[in-house]
Amino acid sequence: MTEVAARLPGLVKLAGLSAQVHYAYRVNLLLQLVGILVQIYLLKVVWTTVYAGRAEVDGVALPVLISYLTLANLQLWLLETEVGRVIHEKVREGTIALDLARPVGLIGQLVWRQIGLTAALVPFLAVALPAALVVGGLQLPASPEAGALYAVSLALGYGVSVLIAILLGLVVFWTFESHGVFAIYQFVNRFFAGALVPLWFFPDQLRSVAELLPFQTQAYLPLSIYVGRATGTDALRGIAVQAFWILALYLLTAALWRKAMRHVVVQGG
Amino acid sequence: MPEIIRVHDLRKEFRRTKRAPGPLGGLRTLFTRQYETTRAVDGVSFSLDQGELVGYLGRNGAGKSTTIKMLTGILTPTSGEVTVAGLVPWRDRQRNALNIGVVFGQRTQLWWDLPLIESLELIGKMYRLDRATYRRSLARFSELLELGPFLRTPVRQLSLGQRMRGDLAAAMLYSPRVLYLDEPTVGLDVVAKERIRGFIEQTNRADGTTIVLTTHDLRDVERLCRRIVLIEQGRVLFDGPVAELTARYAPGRVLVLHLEQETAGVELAGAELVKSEGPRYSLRFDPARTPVAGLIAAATARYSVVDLAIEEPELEEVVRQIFEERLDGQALP
Repeated sequence: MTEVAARLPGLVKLAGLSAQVHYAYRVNLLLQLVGILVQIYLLKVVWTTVYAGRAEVDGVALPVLISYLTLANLQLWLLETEVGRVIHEKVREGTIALDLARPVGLIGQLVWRQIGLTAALVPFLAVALPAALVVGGLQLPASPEAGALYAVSLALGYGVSVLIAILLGLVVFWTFESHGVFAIYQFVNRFFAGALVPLWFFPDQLRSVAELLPFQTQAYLPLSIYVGRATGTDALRGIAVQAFWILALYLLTAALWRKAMRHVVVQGG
Repeated sequence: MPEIIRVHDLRKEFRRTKRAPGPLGGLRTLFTRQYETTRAVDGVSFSLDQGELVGYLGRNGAGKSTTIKMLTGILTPTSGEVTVAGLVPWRDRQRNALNIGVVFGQRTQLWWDLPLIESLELIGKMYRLDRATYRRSLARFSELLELGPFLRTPVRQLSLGQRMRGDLAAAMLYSPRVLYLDEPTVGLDVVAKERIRGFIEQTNRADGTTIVLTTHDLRDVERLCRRIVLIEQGRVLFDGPVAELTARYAPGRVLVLHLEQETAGVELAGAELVKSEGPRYSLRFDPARTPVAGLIAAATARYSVVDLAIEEPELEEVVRQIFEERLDGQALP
């Protein structure tokens, strides 16, 4: 425990610096946000057309769906992890050597860097939430309990997102190339997270596949709780699935990391 | 002085996947299991006492950086032993990190977009300095390296020399017992180089920090190191006092004369003509026996000199000489 306490101030400072740097690119962040808002608006238009005046489809009312899609896309924007790209850059430029020569493990450094990057986005919620309310639509959580469970589920979804980013980042140690991997991930993640179409509208086979993948933890599971589609044991089961993924991905990351360390080839002389 | 670094029969092999040739080579590489092995460090042994300042020299690709990376724990050796301050770096990387400082001249550990002070504060916290120790240490290195004027300037706006001073402060802030300097003067102008050298000397003398210095600049070595370890193709070629190396191998200085026109039979007493290119003549001399001033006076008196320069021997030249000697079968010290 004292070891952890000794490391914490350094890691918190690391997150702080990482937030400062990210915030410096705020124009860029705002532009990304505009893109997300456009996407939310288009989803609203398309789904309103699909509903064609019906109050409900499969027991889901249109305002509930729109609320789901609005939050799903905002969430993916907020939780987007840059840290995989950070590893990529560091390995290519060879500055990873300096991070490895620290009294704190690289994985810990990466997690805290990502926390900083995410923290830099939080102030933008002051703009993003009202704007999303206008272009999309937002309802309050189905119940106070749903709101509380949603917060837990969102935090776990974030954990999964960070672990996947680190895992993909570690691939660079073998390939020295990962832009393609990140591009594929971003697309697959958005779709299978249920940010474009909720999983309950997926055809059965596709849904079974989606439920076997970790991506649903980032939008579908927390939002099913938020809008009140998953309550009681269903909600808890969703949270258990997320906890499982965190554990599994953590073990995988740790194993891959040990292998990467044996394999590490630091670029440049 | 007690021993602090011990390297014994250290080897590092890199195994790379062989890229299959042809247009789909990249793809085929994924499925082939062909490797080529290169041996970057091939049985290196040396040991350092606490407080030593040693030049670790060699040509590009000789295995210097690979050795340094194994000493810092970043790379795992293929075989052999390394201990630094009682720890095996690659096995105990994070604890070892608390004992060492690292500066890579070609890279920076400073945060590019942020004021220098932010990076230093991060170092203070990561290396677990309490507030008072941090302040004392920061004040000391700010003064020694004259960081004051640019502590609050974003690192990307600093000159190379200022950035290097910032990097040195970052590496020394927590008073590590061992400091690895990998080309700390690369790309700097004469004044900046001299300032860095002064700091290195001071750190070694006043704090007793053990320093391993990698450089291509023989002047760094002559100014700072008493001992050097020279490696070539992953092996130790020479390990001993600098004076011995320069006395035996440094091929003196070279006087380069640019004359008004091509002149036949250029010669000066105490110097040997080694090269001529059009009206440019290079003459090698030993400054201990032939004083520079006299030589220049003689040259300008005898020839109509447009321009002249004194060139110092390059490390590459020295290494090449030793290497050739070894190929000739002559004994090494």
